[in-house]
Amino acid sequence: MADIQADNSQELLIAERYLISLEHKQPDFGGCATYGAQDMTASGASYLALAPFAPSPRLSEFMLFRHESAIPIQTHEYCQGALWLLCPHPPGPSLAENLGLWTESQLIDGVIRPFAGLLQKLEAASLTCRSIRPDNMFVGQGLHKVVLGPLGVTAPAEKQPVLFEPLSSAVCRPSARGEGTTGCDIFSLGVIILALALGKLPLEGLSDADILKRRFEIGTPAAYMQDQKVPVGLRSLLTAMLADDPLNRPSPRDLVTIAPSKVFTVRPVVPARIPLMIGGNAVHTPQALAWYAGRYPAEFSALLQRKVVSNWLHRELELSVMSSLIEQASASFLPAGGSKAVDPATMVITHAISVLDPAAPMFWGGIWFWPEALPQMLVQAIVQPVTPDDERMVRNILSFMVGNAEAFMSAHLPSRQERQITALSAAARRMALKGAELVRRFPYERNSYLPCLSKKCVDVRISLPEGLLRWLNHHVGIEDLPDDILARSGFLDEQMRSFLEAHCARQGIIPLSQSKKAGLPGWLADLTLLAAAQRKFDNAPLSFLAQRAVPLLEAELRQWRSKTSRARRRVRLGKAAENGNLGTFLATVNDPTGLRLDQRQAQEAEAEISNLMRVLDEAPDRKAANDREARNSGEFFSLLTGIAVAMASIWLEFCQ
Amino acid sequence: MASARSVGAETLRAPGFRWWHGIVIGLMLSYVPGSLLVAGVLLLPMVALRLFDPNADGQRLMIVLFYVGAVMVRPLHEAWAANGDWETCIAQITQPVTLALDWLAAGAAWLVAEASAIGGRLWNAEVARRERKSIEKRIAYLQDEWLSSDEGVPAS
Repeated sequence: MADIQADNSQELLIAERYLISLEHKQPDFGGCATYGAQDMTASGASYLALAPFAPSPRLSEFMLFRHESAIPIQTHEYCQGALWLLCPHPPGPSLAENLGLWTESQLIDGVIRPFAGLLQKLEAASLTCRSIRPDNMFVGQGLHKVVLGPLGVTAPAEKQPVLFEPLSSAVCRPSARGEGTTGCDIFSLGVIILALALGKLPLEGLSDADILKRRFEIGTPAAYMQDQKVPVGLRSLLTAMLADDPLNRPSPRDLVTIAPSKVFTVRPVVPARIPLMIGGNAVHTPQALAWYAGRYPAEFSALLQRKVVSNWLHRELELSVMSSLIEQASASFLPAGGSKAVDPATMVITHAISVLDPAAPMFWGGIWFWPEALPQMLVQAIVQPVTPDDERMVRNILSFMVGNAEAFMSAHLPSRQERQITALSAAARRMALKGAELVRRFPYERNSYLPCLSKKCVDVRISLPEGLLRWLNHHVGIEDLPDDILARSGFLDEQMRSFLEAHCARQGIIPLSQSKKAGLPGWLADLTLLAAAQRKFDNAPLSFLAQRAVPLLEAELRQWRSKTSRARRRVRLGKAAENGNLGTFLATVNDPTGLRLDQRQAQEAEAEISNLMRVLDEAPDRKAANDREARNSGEFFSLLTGIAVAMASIWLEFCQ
Repeated sequence: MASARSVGAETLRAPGFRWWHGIVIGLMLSYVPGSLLVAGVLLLPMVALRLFDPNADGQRLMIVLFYVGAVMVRPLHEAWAANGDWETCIAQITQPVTLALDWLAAGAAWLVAEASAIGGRLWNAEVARRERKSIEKRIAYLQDEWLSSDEGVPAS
């Protein structure tokens, strides 16, 4: 993972092996920005380098996945924290450039069987590909064999056109589609087969809304195949594959063993003879009613309250079970019970829609989505909001859903939605966070490949904590981070904090956000977090960052009472900042034992000062005693000399 | 020294003569009146000191006694050698050099005692001054070390 910048910034050498030329941008491959890359070792092979942004959370599984009908991900490398995927070149142009007209046997041998095998293998690994669309399928020159672009390089189904998505995810915005099921892939495959058989895309030229409307009116198979010359042998297969009810679609196993003109039977959808009018639209099926209920909730709730819906279901469609369930659902239209957490009207509509179409995604807060896709929706709303209010809305939905999972549980939603909600709330419980912090952390927690979404560094796609540390180290100058902002909000913004905390939590470091709650200033909490991340992920020095923090930490040194130890620690801070190890850097200041010792010594010093002061004050009192003592010792001395003189005299007298 | 002080206090109260002092002096008066005369004359400066210096306590007298004793050695020796001959004793106490030495010795003793007392006092004052200075220095150091802030110290 050596990231060595080549001499000019237009080339990038990763893993000391692959040279990516950023100048030669290739057409997007698999939905990612793509560049040409060259293996610098002897082989000299040419590759495509993909720069995925927010790939599938299960990318690691996709990277190990190999199948002849999907272009493999050769290797993945991080360069300055950004993920790069290296894939071999596709065998030829994509189907988006030229569909061609395929015969039934070509389709069966070149598309259906291999793809059925692929889907079967994916299903065994409980993965879905959700990327079967013309621009992601490549066909070799002169061959009638199709391969799929690399799997998992974008969020599931994010780049899928509405045409290629079953109704259960086509109604959602791209980011809200979720992982889906193998049935969704079968549907997409059916659309591709149809397009190849026809030589053109069905419903060409219609807007997404019109396509949806038409599909809801007469059912997807009819809408796609009406007035088209579909080969007779494929008609029953396609009708089954394009069925709106996922239960009617064949399984990959059925397709692997397919033979020409194999007949599939589909339980026909019986539309009502007398349509139900909602918002000026005539509705013939419960599925269509569910969709229109989402578009016209007010009208729909009025119909529910007047029991029009249940009567219509009962009389026209003879769906007595569904009718009674709807009846029950509308019975909860009671006068609002004061301070209920869940808006009853919205919950009733959500419930009614799930009864009308159990395969439909969740309708809540005015949008269609799969609960599992909420983190991805949040990412999308942060990076590219559709409306200015997008982010707030998704946040509210997510925090409400993880906080009130039991409210949704009691609404008897379809099992797939319930499972996803349970998984979400379980993940939230594991994170042990609350409020905005929890919501912010959610996407990072669910997807370890997600880059840091901070506005400052979202463009460089940093998805490794060490990458973020290094990036920060080079972007902490005064021009990037003015002093007042640093003092007010610290080194990191909220997204960076969530990103690092999520990665630390993944490594088993206990949530560091506690330090913020402990009342530390923001920048100090950030430094603590950065130090922990540095210790855990990367030992590269962060000296710029540390040097930026030196003045702030020096202010913290005021806690030390001793002047010399302040000075010593200041010197040590400077040295630690140069070395760039944030751990020792912080430990210089954040040293409770040292501080306690210092304070004890300070108290001792204060006691000593007052003691000495007292000694000075008492000095005059001792003067008299001193004088007496001086006189005594003086006289003692005189006595001694006197004795000496007397002895000398005696000696002179008698011995001389 | 404590004993010297207590002796001094005793002599202040009374001359401190006991009954046996009288017997000793009486015996000497009858056997060696010459020597006693010499001793008595030579001890006169002490009596004078006792009378004129109110500060002269037993200790001071003891000091003077040693100095005066040093001068007394020769005349007493002479008197002893002459077997207490009255003439010799008179000659001894009339010798002006001896008398002058005797008074000078008393004066010197007094001077030495006073001077050394003053010297001791000065020495003590010097010691106290030095001690005070070092205490003040220590206080200044402690205050600078523990009670100062880093205002104005340039960031390293």
